[in-house]
Amino acid sequence: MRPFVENFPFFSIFLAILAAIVTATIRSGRAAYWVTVGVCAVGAALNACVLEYTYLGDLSFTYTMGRFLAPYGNAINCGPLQAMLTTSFSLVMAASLAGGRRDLFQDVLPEKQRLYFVMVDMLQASLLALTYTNDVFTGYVFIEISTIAACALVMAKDNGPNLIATIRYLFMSLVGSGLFLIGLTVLNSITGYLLMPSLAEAVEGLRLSGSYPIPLTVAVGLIVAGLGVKSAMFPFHLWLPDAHGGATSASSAILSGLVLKGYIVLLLVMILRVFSMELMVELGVTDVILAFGLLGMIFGSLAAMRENHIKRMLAYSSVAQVGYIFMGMGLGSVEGLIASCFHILVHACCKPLLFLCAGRLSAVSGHHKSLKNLRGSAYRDVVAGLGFTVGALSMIGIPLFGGFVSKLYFANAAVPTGMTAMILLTIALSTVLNALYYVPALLAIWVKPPAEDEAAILADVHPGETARDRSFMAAAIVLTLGIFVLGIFYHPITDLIEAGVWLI
Amino acid sequence: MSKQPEKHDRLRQLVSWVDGDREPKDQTLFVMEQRPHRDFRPSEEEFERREKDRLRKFFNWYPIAAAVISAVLGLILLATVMNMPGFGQEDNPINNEVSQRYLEQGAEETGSENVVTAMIIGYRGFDTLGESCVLFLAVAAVMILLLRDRKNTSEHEARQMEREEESVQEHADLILKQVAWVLIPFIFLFAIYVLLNGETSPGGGFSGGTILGAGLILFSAAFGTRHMQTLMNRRRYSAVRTFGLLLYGILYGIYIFIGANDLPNYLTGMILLIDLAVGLVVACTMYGFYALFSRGEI
Repeated sequence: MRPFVENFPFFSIFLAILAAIVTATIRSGRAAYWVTVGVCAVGAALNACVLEYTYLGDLSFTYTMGRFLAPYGNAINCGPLQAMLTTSFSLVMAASLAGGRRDLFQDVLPEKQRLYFVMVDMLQASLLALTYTNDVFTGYVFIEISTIAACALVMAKDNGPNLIATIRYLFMSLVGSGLFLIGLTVLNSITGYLLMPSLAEAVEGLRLSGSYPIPLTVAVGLIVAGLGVKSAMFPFHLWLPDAHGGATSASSAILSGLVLKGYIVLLLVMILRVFSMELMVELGVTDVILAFGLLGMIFGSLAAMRENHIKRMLAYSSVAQVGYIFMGMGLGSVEGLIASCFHILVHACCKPLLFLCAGRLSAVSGHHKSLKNLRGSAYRDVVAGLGFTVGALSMIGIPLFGGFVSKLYFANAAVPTGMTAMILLTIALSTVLNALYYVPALLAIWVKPPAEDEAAILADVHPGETARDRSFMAAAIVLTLGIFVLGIFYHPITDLIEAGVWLI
Repeated sequence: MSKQPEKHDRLRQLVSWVDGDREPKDQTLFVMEQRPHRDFRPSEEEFERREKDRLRKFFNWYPIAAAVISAVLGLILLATVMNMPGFGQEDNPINNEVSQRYLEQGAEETGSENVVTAMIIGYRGFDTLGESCVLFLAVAAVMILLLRDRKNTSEHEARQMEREEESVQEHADLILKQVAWVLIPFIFLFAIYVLLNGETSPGGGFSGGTILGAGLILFSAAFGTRHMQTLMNRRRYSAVRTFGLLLYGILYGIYIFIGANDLPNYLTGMILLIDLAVGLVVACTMYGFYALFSRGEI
C-alpha cells in the first residue's frame, strides 16, 4: 500500500479530464468558468502536496496507471521538479482565466462558452500529463490533445484573421506532432520500448555499442525538431504572432505562458530521462539547439521592435524568451537546464501578466491595439498599468524582478562552456533589444497624450469597460507577486529545481 | 525663461520617439534609424500592390522551398529505413519481453481473448482514454467553429437552408429511402454485435462505433433532419456522448486507483463496459462530424 499522497498527481489529471467531460453539458458559461477555475485551484493544491512530500522526502516515485508494472503498462513519474512545474502551471492557468474573464465573456458567444472551458480543462489535463508522463507514447497522445485544444482557444474569438491564424497554427502544429511521432516509431523499432526508464537503458546500450547510429540520430533529431516546431523554436516560429496576437486575452495568456511550456518540459524530461546529456552532446544536437536559441533571442526581439500592435509585440517577445530556454538546454550542462527550468517559471508568470494587462489596457482604450492609441491608458486602469510595468521590467531583466535571476543563471551556466564570450554577448545584446521595445511601450502607456487625442479615444470606450475588474485585479496581483517571489527569494526555488533535476 | 520651452521640446521629442512619429534628431540609436515610421500609412492602392507583390514573391519561392525540404526529409527517412532492423526478423529489438508477455499472458491478465484489445484497453488503457478524449475534443472544436450562431450564419443563409430542407422533403429519393429502410436495421444489428463481441475481437469498440456511426449517417441522409430529430436530437446526442466518455473515465479511474494501490480487483467485467463506452464515443464523433459539416446542427 503506497502513501495516499502518491495518488494526487493521478487525481489531478483525472479531475481535469472528468471536469472537461462534465463541462460540455453545463448550459451556463459562468458555471463552466467556475468549474474550470475550481479544477485548476484543486490541481494546484494537490500538486503542492506532492511537491512537499517529494521535496521533504527527497524522493521521486513511479505511479502505475493500471495494474501492470513497467515496462508493460502506462505509468507516470513524479519528483519535486514535475510537482513544482504542475503546481505553478495550475496556478497560472487559473489566474489567466480570471484575468481575461471579462474579455472572454465578450469575445465568445454565450452558447459556445462552455465549449471554450471544455478546451481549457483538457489543456490543463494535458499539461499535467505531459509533465508527469513516464511513457513517450502517452506524451504523444497528450500532445494531440493540447494541439486541438490550443487551436480551439485561438479560434474561439471567431473572426476572419483568427481563423487564418488558427489554420496556420494547426498546420504547423500537425507537422510538429508528425515529426515527433515518426521519431518515436523509429526509436521504438530500434529499442523495443516506450516506457522511459527501459528506453533509457536501451538507448544507453545503443550508444555504448554503437549499433544503429543513423536511426538513433534521426530519431533524436526528429523528436527535437517536432517539439521545437510546436514550441516555436526560432526558425519555426512564424505561426506564433498571428495565433497569440489575435486570440482573446485569456487564450493568449494560456497559449504563450503554458502551452509552449508543456512541449518544452516534455523535451526537457526526454533529454534528462531518455537520451541523457552525453548522447545529446555526442550527436551535436545541443549545438543545434544552442544556435537556434541564440538566433531566436536576437531575431525574436528584432521582430518585436518592428511591431506597433501591442499583443503581436508580446507574441514576438515570446519567441525571444523561448530562445532563452532553448539556449539553456543547448549549453549541454545541468546548470543550463536548471536555468532553463527557472526561466520557464519566470516566463510562465510574466507573459500571462503582460497579455492580461495589455488586454485590459486596450479595453479601456476602446479595444484599440496599436501603441499610439494606448497612450496614457495606464492612468485609466492603474492596476493594469502597474502590472504591465512589472512584467516588462522583469522581461528586460531588472534586478529584484524574476527575469534578472534567470539571466544571471544563464550567464553563470555559460561560463564553463567553450563559447562563453559569444553567449554572454548575445544575452547582453538581447537584453538591450528587449529594453528597446519594452521601454517605448512603457512610456507610451504612462505618458499622457494631448487632450484632444485622448478625447477621441475615450469616445470609443464602452462605458462598462472602465469599471473596475475585480477578477483581473486578483489575477494581476497573484502574477505580480509570483514575479517578485521569483526575483527575490530565488534561492529556495533553484535549490528545488536542482534537487528535482537530480531526482528526475 | 529660456529653459522652460527647451524642456518642453525635449518632452515632445521623447513623446514623438515613443510614438514613432518622428525620430529625435540628435540621440538616434543605430537600430531605431532603420525602423520605418510606425505611423506611416501607405494609401490603399499602394498597400494592396505591396501585398500582392509580397504574395507573388511568396508563391514563387514557396513551391521550391517546400520541394527542397520534402526531398531532404524524404532522403533522411529513406536513409533511416535502410539502416533499421529488417522487417519481421526474429532478433529485432522489438521482440523483447514486453511483446512476449502481451502474447503469452494477455488473455489471462486482462480477460480479453484478443491481444490487440488486451493491449489497447488493458495494458495501455490510459493512452486509449487519451485517444477517446481526442475524439471528444475534436467534435467540441468543430462545434465551436461550425455550430450555427449569429456570427457565422446570416438570415439569408438560414432561409436558404430551410428552403433546401423543404425541397428535400417534397422530392424524396425513393430508391435511397427504400434501400436505407432495408439496410439500416441490419447495420445497427451488426454494430451491436461487433460492440458486444468487441472484447474478443481486434479493436472492439472502435470498429463497432464506426459501424454505428455509419448507420446514423445513412439514416440522417436518407430520411432528412426532421426524422433524425426524433431519433437523435441535440440533447440526446450530448447525453450519449458525455455518458460514453464519462463511463470510460470513471471506470478506468477506479481501475487505475485499484491497480496502483494493490487493492483487490473487482472489475472483472470492465473490458466489455469500456468497449461499449468507446463505441458510443466513436459513433457520436462520426455522426457529429457529418451533421456539423453538412448543416451546422445536430
